[in-house]
Amino acid sequence: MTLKSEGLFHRIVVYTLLLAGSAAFILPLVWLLSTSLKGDTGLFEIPPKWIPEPVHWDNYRKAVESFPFLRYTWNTVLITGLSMIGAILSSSLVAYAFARLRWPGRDVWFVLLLATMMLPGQVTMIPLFILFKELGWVNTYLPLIVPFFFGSAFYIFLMRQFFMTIPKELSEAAKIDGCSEGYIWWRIFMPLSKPALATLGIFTFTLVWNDFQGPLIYLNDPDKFTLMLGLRSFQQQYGTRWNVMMAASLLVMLPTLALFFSFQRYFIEGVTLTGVKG
Amino acid sequence: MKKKGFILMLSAVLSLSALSACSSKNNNETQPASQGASASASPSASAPASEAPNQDPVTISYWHIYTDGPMKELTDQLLADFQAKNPHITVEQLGVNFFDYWTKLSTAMAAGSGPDLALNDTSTVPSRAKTGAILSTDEFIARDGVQLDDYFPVLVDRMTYEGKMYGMPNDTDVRVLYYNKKMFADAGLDPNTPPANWDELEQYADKLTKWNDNKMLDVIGFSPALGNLHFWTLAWTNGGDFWDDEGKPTFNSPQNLEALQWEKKIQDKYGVKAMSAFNSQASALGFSPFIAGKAAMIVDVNNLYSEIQTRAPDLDFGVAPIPYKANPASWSAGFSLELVNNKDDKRAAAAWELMKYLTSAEVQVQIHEASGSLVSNMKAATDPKFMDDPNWKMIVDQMEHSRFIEYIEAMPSWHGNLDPVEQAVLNSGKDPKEFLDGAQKDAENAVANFAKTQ
Repeated sequence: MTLKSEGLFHRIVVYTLLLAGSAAFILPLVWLLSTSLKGDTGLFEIPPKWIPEPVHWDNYRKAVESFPFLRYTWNTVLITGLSMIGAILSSSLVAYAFARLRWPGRDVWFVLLLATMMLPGQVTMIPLFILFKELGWVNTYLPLIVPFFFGSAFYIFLMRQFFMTIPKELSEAAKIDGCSEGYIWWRIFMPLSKPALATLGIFTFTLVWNDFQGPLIYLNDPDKFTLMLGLRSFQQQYGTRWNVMMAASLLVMLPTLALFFSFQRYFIEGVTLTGVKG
Repeated sequence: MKKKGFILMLSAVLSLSALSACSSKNNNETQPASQGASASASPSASAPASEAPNQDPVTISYWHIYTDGPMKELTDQLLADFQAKNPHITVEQLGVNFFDYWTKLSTAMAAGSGPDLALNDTSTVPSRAKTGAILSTDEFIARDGVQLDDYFPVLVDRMTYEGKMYGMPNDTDVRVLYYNKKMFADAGLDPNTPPANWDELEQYADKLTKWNDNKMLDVIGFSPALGNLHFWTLAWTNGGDFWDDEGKPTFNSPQNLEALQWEKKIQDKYGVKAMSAFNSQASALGFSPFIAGKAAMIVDVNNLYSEIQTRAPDLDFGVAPIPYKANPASWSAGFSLELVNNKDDKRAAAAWELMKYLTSAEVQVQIHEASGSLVSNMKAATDPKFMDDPNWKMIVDQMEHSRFIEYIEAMPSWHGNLDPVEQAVLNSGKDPKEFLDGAQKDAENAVANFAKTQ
């Protein structure tokens, strides 16, 4: 009886906290939705109105018509998709070498790799831009995609830590059966690392999908623009069409939400990899 | 065996990424003549003008800040008209919003991959003229007989470097006093006599300020912290200056100090508490407190005039010069059109044609009609159909006394250092003398440090 009521009390506390937390996180989204349906005059009303009156659905039409929405969506999907493939393949491959192979200077290289995380992006911006310009890559998607095929320090670190938790016995057993290192990486480590790969994938997705500065400085042809560049076009020196911008923002945000919910179970699955029985 | 091959592959990947870091360095060292190094190139750069317009097809790029609204539509239309008149020129335009444009443009120009024609900041023309990043337009201007007298002298002056004109001015702005005529009448003041000097401004402000029962501000008469009156502008109206003829800072001159002390005196009448409550309300409005009827007088950019016309067309207001103590003054900034030095005479000549077109009186009239901006071509800005409006005439007339921020090579954004000083004095009750002395010391250090690098 006491146990049961304690459990009930515990649950009430937990759910209250969870509800408060989720309310805090959902509030900006609700405000986004609310603003996206307001007219030009209702934007800055005091006290603020949560339910717009009247509802301006045409903001969404204006948002889609203000810039080539479909074209920019396709551009963004292309860049994001290729970057994700690049990040997942290269970072996990390098991480495998750091986690499982023994080679001279491995730890030194690893520290060097981590040190690159400390370089702020602003420092490398102009040298990188000049490099890509000399390669003739300005105004193409290559500067936005190719770097992901060369791994990134944080992702490599993330994958290495995850690979270290995979029992050695698995790779040893595979080796006894005549499996090569590349094959072990691809057939054993990758399938077992779905939670880490999902995390890496989502990180890359949000990074590239929301990236503004990269496309801003590398792309010159409006037909090649991404959604983030399109979104900013609503902001002008004197004044911003907030309602239309919010409508566009909501549309641009939807894929991120969808992706998160579809990959969510992989995050939770992370617990199942605790070890080999035997 | 297989393992060895795998390691080889890995080290290849690693060394590749290391190589890519080196190659950028090599490129800069081994090819100093490449466009990548144009920022440091000598200012050999005055584009030779061809006698007859070249009729070979040419494609040029034009970067600007018009991404939304009427100016985007007008730009599309103007470029279409221009290409119809000049069939051999194709213009690839790129609009990036005002806030991000500078990142885009400066990165591209630093790497030598800028557009052929760029909208840029008029205040900093000398810096680009000096490094040879942009081309002089003197020969084009002489060849085509463009009359520089048609443009506001202060703009032409700012775009001249070592006796040569670099680009053409596109548009500018100016600060004026806006005052609410209805509030003037309600307070027993003459709605046709705005304050002309500091003393009148203070007296009127006292009469116009309305407190409510909670000791909070309903209407503020005048606050130097609202709108777009910056400390340097007010100091100029007191005969103050921030740089002497030798390029030495005079931030803490008596005139400047007096202006800052006067600002503090006005602001202290409201008190920090009432003012911060007022500010948090005002910033939530999303538009000027003058439009909302929360401020009876405000100094702001001429753009507020267009905003009043769209948001509050019934507002009964007037426009006046900024009240002064020693001499009338105002502050202007602006956008210039510049020929980026892409080492291609044909493209530069075509970009000039577009520049000439965009700054011509007929086109500038259209730009004013679309944006309400103060265009640089005086023939357009003072077109009789605009000057019938006494408020617009008053705005244009202020250009006579208006000045730009001095371009100081050692400290190009020196005025940016004064905003925090003004805020500390007005909002946090800091001592004007102490903070102005501090700014003076910073400026002296900047100049001294810069001298060491020369």
